[in-house]
Amino acid sequence: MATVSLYQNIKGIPDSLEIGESIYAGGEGRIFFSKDGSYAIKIYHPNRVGAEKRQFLEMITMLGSSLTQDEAHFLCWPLAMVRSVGNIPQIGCVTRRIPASYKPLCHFNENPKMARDQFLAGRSWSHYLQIARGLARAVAVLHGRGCAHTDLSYFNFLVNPDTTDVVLLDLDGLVVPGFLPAQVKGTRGIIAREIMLRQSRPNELSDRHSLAVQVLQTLLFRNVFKSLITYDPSDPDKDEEIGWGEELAFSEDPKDRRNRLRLLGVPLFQGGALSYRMLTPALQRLTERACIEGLNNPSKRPSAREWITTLSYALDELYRCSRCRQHFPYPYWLKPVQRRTCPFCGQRVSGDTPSVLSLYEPRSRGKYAFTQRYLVMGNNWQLFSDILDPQRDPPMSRRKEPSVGHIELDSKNNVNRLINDEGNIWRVQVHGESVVTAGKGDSVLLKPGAIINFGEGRRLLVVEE
Amino acid sequence: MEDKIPDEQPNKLLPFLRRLADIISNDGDLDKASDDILRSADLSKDEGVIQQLNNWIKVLQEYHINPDANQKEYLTKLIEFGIPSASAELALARMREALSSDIEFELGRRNYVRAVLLAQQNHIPQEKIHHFQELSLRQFAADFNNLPGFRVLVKEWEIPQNEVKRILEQLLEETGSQWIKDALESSSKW
Repeated sequence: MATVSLYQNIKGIPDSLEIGESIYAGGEGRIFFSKDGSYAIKIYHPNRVGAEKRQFLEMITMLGSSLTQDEAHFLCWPLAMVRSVGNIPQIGCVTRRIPASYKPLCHFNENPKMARDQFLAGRSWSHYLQIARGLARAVAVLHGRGCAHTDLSYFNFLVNPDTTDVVLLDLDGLVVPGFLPAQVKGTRGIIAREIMLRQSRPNELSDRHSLAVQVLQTLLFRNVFKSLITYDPSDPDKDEEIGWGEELAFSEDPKDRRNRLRLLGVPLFQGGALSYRMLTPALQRLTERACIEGLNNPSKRPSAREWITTLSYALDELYRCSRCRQHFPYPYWLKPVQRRTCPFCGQRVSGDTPSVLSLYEPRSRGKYAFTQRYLVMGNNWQLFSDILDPQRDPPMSRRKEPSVGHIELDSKNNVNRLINDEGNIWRVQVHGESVVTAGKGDSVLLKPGAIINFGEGRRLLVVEE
Repeated sequence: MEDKIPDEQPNKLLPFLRRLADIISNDGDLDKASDDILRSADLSKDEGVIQQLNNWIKVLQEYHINPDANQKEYLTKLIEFGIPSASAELALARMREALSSDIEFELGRRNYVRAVLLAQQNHIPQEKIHHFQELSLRQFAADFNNLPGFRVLVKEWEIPQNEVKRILEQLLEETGSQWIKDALESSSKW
């Protein structure tokens, strides 16, 4: 047992910690847990880091002092610097110890089998959607502060599969333009092409590429840039270098089919591979910007915040398969309805189909603008108040969000009804006909073309189908 | 929470912020530095960028003149002028570092209490402040034999009892002074 002496401690971190044996040794250093079980301590290998590392770490630790409680929950920021271990000067830092209920992201999203194991354990693709949003949230906070991570590998995200909470690790290599230079290149397979080709140093835009890879890996259970071609049969390392670098290509690029999977689009449970075309149209557009337009043009890549918003919207567009009980984005953009199938088991959508509504934002002089957002409302679906509030995007959790309405299937007429669960009077108009009002307990028939006005200053819904 | 996240393209001037902070801290030639920065970033003709740079300079100069003022106020101003919070915090920290030459001066003339005061005012890392405090306490005990002064400092800086004991024991070992021995004995009753 050794005593680690600390300095630059923030937020009530003690001046010293007792540590036991190292629990992990990597290229940069060794990891220890404090005896009290609350902290993780990283001690760098003395011969592998320069003296400037201490200075960088001090700067990074200082930046952590202004994190909000919420941010500190999903960013595992250094909380103190190591001065010495057993009176021997060492370079290192201390972070909080993440509970064992959190596992590396690669335990969940590396391949379809892992996903299947999670599904068998009672989790659904909607969990993955929320995890993907959690990844984007952690990165968005870093980018919003002007920092880049530079190694958004799936070892550096820890995930609690039950709560879908995500924690981002390894913040000791942060990049801040002009102050903290990139210290690592990243993990192969996730690194942006321009970094692999040494045309640029890791930065926020290269992080955006890595984030897109992680988000899509989490939604589709495969690296969407994985090369299917051997570029150098004599040297596997060189081969990977080329496949993940110079020849990097999106597996579903319509103009470049080199990495296109043979069973792409075949239902996952039948041995196929999920296509990005199963995602909502808004997510498909982000994917194209990230993986096609942004591949060689970093400024086209979507920001982490755009991912958060679009992934959040996708949560309101889910449908549950009647056969495999899996959630997936309801493919309302495919017409006729007979073309709509479950991407997991291939079951055709039939029976009680959900209502699809588009969402409009109030503008000046009584006008409304389309938000590019849809709602897929099946039986028992709840209309939460954030959906109608033009000032708000969906919250990370709706646990405390009041519901203002819900859907009930009118089996007699085979249509869905939206029940008013709040005090406000709703006004509904269908194809210019007279306005019908609905107070608390009343219901609105969701007939195509119906316009539902929830009151002044709120968003408006139009029934599409 | 996510509503607070600014969504913007990386700023081309940001990599030069550190240089700007250094030049202002060292009272360097700002006109020349501004020209150099704009030329390096290839933005000499962009009025918006020139205005942004001037705004940054104004805030950093104000901070340089008045480093004792509320740091948060300057941080907010820099963020309002388009600097992400991490860069803004590091720029101000860098300017505070430059202040350490004043502290060095006080240390050089063995005015340790003044060094502590300057360090506290300028948010110098706690580690260094502790070190200066220890130098002050050792000076009051070993050099000045000023027990009331020693006690005032212990109280004001909230030095823990075990730390006071450690310092006095160390001094006793080094000097063997009877005064220190007495101080050590009485310190347990403070």
